[in-house]
Amino acid sequence: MIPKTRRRSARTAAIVAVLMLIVLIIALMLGDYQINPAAVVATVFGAGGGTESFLINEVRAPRALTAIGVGAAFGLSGAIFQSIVRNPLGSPELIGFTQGSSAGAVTGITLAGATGVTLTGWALAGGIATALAVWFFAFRRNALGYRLIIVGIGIGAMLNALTWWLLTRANLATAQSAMSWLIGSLSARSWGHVVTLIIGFGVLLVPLLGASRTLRILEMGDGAATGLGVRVPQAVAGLVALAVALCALAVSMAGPVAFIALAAPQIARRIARAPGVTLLNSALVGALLLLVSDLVALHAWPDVTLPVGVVTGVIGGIYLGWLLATGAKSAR
Amino acid sequence: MSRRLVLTVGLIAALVLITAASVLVGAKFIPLSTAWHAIFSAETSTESAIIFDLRLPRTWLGLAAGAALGLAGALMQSLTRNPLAEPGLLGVNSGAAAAIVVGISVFGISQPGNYIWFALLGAGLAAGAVYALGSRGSAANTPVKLVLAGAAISAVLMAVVWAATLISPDALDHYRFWVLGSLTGRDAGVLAQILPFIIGGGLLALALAWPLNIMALGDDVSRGLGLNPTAVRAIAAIAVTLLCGAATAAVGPIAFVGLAVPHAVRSLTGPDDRWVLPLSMLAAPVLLLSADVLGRVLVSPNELQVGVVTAFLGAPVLIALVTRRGPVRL
Amino acid sequence: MPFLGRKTASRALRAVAAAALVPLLATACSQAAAEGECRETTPPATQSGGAFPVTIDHALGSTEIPAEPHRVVTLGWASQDTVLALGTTPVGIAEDAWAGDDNGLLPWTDEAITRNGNTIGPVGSDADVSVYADAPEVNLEELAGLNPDLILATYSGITQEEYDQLSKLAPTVAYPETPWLVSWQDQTLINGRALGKAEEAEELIAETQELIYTTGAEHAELPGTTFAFIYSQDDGTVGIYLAGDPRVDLLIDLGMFPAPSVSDLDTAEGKFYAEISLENIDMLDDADVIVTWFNSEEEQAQLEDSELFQDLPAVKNGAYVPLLDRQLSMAVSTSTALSIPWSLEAFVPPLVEAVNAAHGTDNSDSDNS
Repeated sequence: MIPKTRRRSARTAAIVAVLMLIVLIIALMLGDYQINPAAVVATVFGAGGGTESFLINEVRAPRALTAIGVGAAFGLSGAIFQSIVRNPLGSPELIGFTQGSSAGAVTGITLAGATGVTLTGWALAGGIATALAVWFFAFRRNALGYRLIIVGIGIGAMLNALTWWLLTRANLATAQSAMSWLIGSLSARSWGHVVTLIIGFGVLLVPLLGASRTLRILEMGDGAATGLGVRVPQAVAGLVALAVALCALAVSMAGPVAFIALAAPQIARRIARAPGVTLLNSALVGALLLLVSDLVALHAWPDVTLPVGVVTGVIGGIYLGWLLATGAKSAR
Repeated sequence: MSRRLVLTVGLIAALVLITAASVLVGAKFIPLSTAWHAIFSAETSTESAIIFDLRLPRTWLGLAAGAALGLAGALMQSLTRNPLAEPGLLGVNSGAAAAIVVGISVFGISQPGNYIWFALLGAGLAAGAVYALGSRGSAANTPVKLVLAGAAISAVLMAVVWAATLISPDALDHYRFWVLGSLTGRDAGVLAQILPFIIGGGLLALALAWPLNIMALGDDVSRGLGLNPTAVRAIAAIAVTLLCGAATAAVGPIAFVGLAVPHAVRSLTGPDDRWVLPLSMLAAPVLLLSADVLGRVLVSPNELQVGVVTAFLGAPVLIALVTRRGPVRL
Repeated sequence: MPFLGRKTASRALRAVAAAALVPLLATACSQAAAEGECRETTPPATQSGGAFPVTIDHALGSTEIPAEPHRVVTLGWASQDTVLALGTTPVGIAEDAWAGDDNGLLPWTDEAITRNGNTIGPVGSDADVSVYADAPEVNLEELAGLNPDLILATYSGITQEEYDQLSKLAPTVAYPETPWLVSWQDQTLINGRALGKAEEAEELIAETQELIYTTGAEHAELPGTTFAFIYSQDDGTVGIYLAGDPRVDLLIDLGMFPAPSVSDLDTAEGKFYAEISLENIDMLDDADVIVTWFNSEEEQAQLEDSELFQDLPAVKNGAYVPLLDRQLSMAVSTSTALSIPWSLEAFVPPLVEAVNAAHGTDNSDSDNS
């Protein structure tokens, strides 16, 4: 049984990875300057120069790689949340991180003119403070139950009001910049973002490997897990912290892009026909989803480039509709 | 029983008091005697203009929209068997939002008073689409399916809202004020436009209190007692759409009122819809008008939009009430 | 009226000081500046070649411009006007989605381009000047296609990320401290320095300033008149622009001064407006003239239908100037060396009319007409 599932899971991973590579090459080709595949490969390896080299090596490649890293981080974060709450509608939004980071970022943009690293600082401060507040008010034995949801809704409503109030107080041009951040954008990402993502994943690799094992044990049920020597509340707290860290990494690189964390784990689970949520596949599907979304955002409309979050919103709608069509038995 | 009566009397008293406060208190300080004179004498003055042109319209609007949101929320929570449901779950808010940004960026409307028909149409279409999507396939129209269908349609509609606000500066400029929710900047005609919808939806909703109580016992029991569960759900969905659609069209998506008030009321009265529905209808305008009055005095000579104060007033109360009393059952 | 006298005196002093800054030649052609014929008579900048490399510090870093730029792209607002006024035609200009014409440009920008026989078109066309969209996101591919050797985003809201990427394309100058905040004088000076035309930029500022003062001086009724420049918002509040905002500064330079109640409003540092509830609009009773702008006629009706607004003395007296033309609203809010002559021509006549109406009613109190 288990080897069979594993094999299917590995095959899924391989297929998604190959698809991702193909989309990556397409992403390097497409743009106001169409560049053929041969020239893309040559330019990546240093041939050519001028505009082509700038567009491929400085604009398209770092942007596409950032999409892959951010998508993977959101996919992982969502997979961990959905495993813990055992619900396909679980996502980092449950703990208020994204709403908090939005409020933090909009505060920074409208009141302090923040941008770049400073803006990331504002967003992270808002997100972490909110996650801690939700956890503090909601934490009981059953940490992810009813209280968490109600506290999350209450704090979310306040943050949302704060965010939009700040946007009404700002001048329109500033509000427009803030909107782009709020929706989630991969505009003008550079190698600095790619390097930050690599460092982030490097730091989180060991906890991720541990989480993969803990999640498998927790899926057997709290009783069985306790029998196997896992202290469930502590394990859950650790997993939530890891999921928030992954979400923070993603949000700080691209803003609160919607629905990737929600959709990626379930899509991965269903194409692998695996019983539980697997981390690797969720990461790969998340990466592919965001990469494709960004390509659509860049090229779907002539003359306008929209932030990627607009497209992932539509993907979220399609995903939820698909959940509906395939039977929402597990969605409670 | 007596506790419910005390609550009813208390809410009615609070409603009367807050209505009076809403007329007498504002960003401009008017002494009580001056206000009295301005209200009851025929001569016009700055004070009488403030009271009759600004404070009275927003008070009426707050009463109507608050009652509609409270009732819609209570109905939604009963309908979905989810104590955390909000009236916007059927896609009403996102439908109204999408229709308004399209109205602004494509048809050039620009005043909250002129959003009404767009918002009502958008809310109705979205709710219809949600209901149609949720009633396909097996287990049609179960609460879970409706909620999922609502989330799916809302996600797509919000993408439309994002795109429109990003491309059209005008759409963002108006949307950012609308989305917060506000009782001001609308003329008296707005109330007349939404009132038929609210009265119609309200009568439907109150008539459903008893059937919904029976529905809580399960579909089989309901059928045994001669109820048609599908029909009850359909009527409830129509009532929610009328109430929430009209309120949202008039004052913006202050959905939190519709979530928090019925939830809090239920934690005090228990799950009987014959109490939850009317008491939510009384309590929601109290929250909305209190928030509005506070918003006028907190940052005088300016004002805070009612949606901001509602969230910051309602959320802590909700959290405190519910975390102390434990989960609310339906 | 000691207050009025002091105000006039200080204005005259400033005009003299401004004139003293300007070389004689430039002063002589200040009238012609509006027509743009002045540039020929100005002596060529002595340091046109020697100015470079120029280094400009700004909010997002420090930019070195190694040599005289030939392909200038402007981002955000206003910079294109300065570049044109200094005799360079930009190869790329960001569109104005709010007030721009079919090409996305404002009329004075359009005029400055087409006067020299240059053509305007979208990116990828054969036009001399390409207009591109910089919102919601800057399209780096389009900008790369324009092959810029200088990018001026002096009056913009570009992010650090966008700045970093643009800098790889060409030297890029961002806003001095805060996104979307720079005075027209600073904007002109910074862009002038980036083009190696610092002296010409200073002259341009002095000429433009002089033009405002001269226009003010031509209308004796303006000095001493109080005003409030306001705007209405969807939530029923009214915003009042304060000194430091270009609209208010323009009226002050024309000799008017803000109503005392407006000057008393508290506001945060770096914020040039205050907001009040419509209930408190009678605070503006001491404004002789009220100026405002609207997005649309619907918005205008919303405010003008209010009895409280109608009761304001300025409105009762007909001393009320509503701006409904977006290009004019943009001209008075985003001042540049090109927009100021344009807005003076379009805005001062209705303003003078309003001021006359304000004073006319003051006088008519006695003869009871």
